[in-house]
Amino acid sequence: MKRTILWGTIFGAALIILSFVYPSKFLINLFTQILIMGLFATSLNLLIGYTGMVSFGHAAFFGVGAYTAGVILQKYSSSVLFAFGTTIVFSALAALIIGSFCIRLGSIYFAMLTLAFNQIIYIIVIRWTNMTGGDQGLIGGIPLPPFLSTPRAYFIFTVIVVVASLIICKLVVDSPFGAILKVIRENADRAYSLGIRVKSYQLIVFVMAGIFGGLSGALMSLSISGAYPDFCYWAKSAEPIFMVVVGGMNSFLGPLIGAAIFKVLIAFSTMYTNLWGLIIGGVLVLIILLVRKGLVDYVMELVANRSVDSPKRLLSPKETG
Amino acid sequence: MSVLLLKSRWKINPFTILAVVVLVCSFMIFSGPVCAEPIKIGFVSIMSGRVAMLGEEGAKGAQLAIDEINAKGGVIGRKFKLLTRDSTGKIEEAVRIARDYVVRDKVDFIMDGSSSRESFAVKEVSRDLKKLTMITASETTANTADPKIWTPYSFRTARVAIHDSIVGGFFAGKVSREFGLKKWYSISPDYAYGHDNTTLFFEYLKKNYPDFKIVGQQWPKIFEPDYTAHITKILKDKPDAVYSCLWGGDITAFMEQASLYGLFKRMKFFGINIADPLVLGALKKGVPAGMYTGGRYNPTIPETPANRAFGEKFKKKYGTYPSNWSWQSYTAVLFLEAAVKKAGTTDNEKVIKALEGLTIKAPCAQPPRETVTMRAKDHQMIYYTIGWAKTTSNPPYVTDRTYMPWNEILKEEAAYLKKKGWL
Amino acid sequence: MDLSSLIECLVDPGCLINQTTSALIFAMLLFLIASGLSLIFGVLGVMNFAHGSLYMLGAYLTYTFYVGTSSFPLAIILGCFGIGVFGVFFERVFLKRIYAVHILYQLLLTYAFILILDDVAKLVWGYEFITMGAPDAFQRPPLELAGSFIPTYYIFVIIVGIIVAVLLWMFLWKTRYGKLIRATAHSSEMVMALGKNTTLIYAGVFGIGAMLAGLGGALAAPIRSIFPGMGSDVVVDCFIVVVVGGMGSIPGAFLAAILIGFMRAFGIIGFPLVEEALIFILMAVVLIVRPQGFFGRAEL
Repeated sequence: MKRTILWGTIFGAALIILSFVYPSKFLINLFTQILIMGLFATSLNLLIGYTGMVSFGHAAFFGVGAYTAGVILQKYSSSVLFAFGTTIVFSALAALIIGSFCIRLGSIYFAMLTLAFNQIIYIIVIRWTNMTGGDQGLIGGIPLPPFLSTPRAYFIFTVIVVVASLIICKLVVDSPFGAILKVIRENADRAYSLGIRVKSYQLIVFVMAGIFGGLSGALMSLSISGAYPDFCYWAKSAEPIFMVVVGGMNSFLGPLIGAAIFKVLIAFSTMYTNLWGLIIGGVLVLIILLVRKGLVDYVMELVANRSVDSPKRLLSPKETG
Repeated sequence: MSVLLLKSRWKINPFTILAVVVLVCSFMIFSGPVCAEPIKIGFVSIMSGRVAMLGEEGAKGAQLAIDEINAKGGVIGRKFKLLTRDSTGKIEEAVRIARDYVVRDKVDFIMDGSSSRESFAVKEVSRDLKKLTMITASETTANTADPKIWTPYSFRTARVAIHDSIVGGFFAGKVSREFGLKKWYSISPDYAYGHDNTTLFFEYLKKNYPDFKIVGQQWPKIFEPDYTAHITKILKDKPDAVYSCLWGGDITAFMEQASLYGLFKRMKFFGINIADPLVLGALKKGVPAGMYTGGRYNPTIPETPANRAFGEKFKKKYGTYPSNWSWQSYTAVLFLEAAVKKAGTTDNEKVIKALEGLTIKAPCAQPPRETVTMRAKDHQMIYYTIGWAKTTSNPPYVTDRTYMPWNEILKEEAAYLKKKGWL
Repeated sequence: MDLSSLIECLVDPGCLINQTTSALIFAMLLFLIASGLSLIFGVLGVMNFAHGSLYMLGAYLTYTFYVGTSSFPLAIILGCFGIGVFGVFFERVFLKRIYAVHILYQLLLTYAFILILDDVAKLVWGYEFITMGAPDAFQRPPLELAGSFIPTYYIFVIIVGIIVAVLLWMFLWKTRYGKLIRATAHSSEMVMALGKNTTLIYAGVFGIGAMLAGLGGALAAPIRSIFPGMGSDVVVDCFIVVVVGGMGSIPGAFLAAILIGFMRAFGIIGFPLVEEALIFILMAVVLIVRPQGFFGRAEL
């Protein structure tokens, strides 16, 4: 536990120091987005990698978070703390409602039902024009307090929120609670017969994923000073899945690395061509066919296999299971 | 389990390939071209997916203007250079690209040729980074008119919904009086543009022809592939006339399907977005004659030598006539050139001062004027052509062009803004 | 909500026939595309997100062949078989390598192909939208029936849809190959144990599924706009059909497509603006109450 907090803090501090040592606004912008999408993907991986539930509607929470924080800061309050607090409550509520229906279903049905709820949230956002601005999005800018108004200040804020969230996630998955999740992932029936209340655990982790998904949405809406219906359109749900798979679903940091790869690839490809889909799609196909696992997972296994007396614990949980 | 599969099948370590790709990519990002000489315009828009035409057509227009200016030796001794980047249809990407243009590419101006949503987001970047932004595609009235979201750093050279509606109502009123069109119908896309445009159209039709009633309205969603249920409903309600602000691939799909039902033979049809080369060029079975259309772009709307010449130059370079988005970005570059010349610098604050109230010669000017003006108070271009016409089956596909005098448009616009509390 | 117009329409034969035919037209195209998706899911267990892109390619190919040969029937056949061949190629080269891996990889591989095929379409046919227009044989005034209108092309589409539905049903239930396919859907190990080549069955099923999507595209080409990305909304509609009808069930897909067609055609009159939400709510309710859909097997 101490190690997690220590390494998390070092990672966060390093990023912040780096932003002073090498103050490239381009990199600060890019890294802000990578961290936000990294948190989004990590929250989804709580479901996919740790509990074995493939959600295809995670953008619903990204949207709920983005709109809650955006609307509150634009219309009701100037307190960022209050906005984020409300975001957590609202995305938890949304996840509780959606989750209580979804967790009753098995794999592909689960994916389809999350997709359906995703679209229902999307239609609510589009139709609730008074509150959300409808299909135009929440426009006119989201006012930020002075201490967050420069890109670097917002970057530091993002680092703190994301790293703190990641540490919490890591502590949870390393806890006995996390161990039970893995048992459920490997064999829900066996877990059930051991007296584990499978559905309760699944619901709790669904709500957790919803909360962190909502937080990443809130960070995004403040970062670009607006919330838009695209945030909760089903296609948005495919992005974190991309990141999870490319980065690696069996390593905690896999999704974050996946987010970095996704964002860097898009930033690079749009600089030189309009055929970004061909490049992103091509990379994805290559990884799926050649590597057949996330890059971080792959590296972890290489490391584990190289050392002759490799202890089993270095292997990813899936391999030992 | 999959470790085994992997080892036996692939000899070259695939991860190495990927690592090299990622490395090369990041290298190219971090060591991008640095060049301070030309005046750089960073164009951000959607260039892939369903509305790729916005960005592609917009970039063509801007590039044509830049080529012309550079051929004359540029302005204040410097040439223009256009950077284009695809927002991939993601708003956060559009924002990131706009910011990158400023902080990394050190562009002198941003040009935003994307959808209204992205445009609002890019507007926030221009406010935040104090960078002059030309908006060349978003038609939402609020973008320049609403003081709550207004910023001194953004200017618009695109047509505006309120102008279009005022002129549409004026023209439709004239036709209605002529034929006694009493029962009206509408079919427009179900999003802000469609609702605003249609509501305002009827408001202004009322002013010009109070004697009609709306018998029904249809709101298909944007990119709707199938309109048969809407069409049959319209046929059942038997209106005298139908108004539509469907655009792009949606209006062509609607027209193909409505033709099969013979809809255009049974009622008058007013489509504000039909007269655009992208739409008319897509109709492989010919353009139905006798519809009424707004002139988004047509080489003969306005019927002036300057507009003809612009259309032909564009066609010579790209093989097709310009579309609505092309003339708007073309005009944006003309404005920038004139403003930089007047200011003698690319310093944004000075260029903004120069742009406010600036009048330039442009092919899109509505006759009898030959010039358009960047209105100082809200940074919206005025005096551009808003024409309506009747369709014919042969090129240039339009006849009986009608224009509304701009002083009347401005009078109506002022009344509207007052009513909205925006003035 | 406008219930009075809805009731008014239901008692007016003209309106009733009008909206019913438009429901059937929408339903037939949706069924053609979704039945392919359902078949692929039932046998291969793969949720093919790229199915909408196959529909798009079908439309593009048909358009190209129509321009090249000026024969609409030939264009349909070439377009539809072209996509079938592409489907077999796709299954053999890409999909077959990842059957053993996590289901996510299949989802993502097909998602990658949405991106790739959209860009390929843009490269080959350009970013502008294309309309093909109904062939001259169908460019005639619509039939009139009790105050309603039915274009001849739509009658053609409805007939083709029904013929394909019947043929598909006969193929799956009456022929040896069909029985083999259904057996594979049930238990591929068992079929393998019988000495049959499941590899070929997988490729064949994907080919047939792709062909159905291609046929949907081919029939849509004359009446819809063709552009890169035209498949991305269609694939969501197809998912709804497959879920509601039951994953893997062809009769289910047929009924669900017709149900959705009717919900749309009459929703436009009775519940304009919320008719889209209703369809997703239907999908959610079916999943919650009866996850296997109308005709699906309880366990998959």
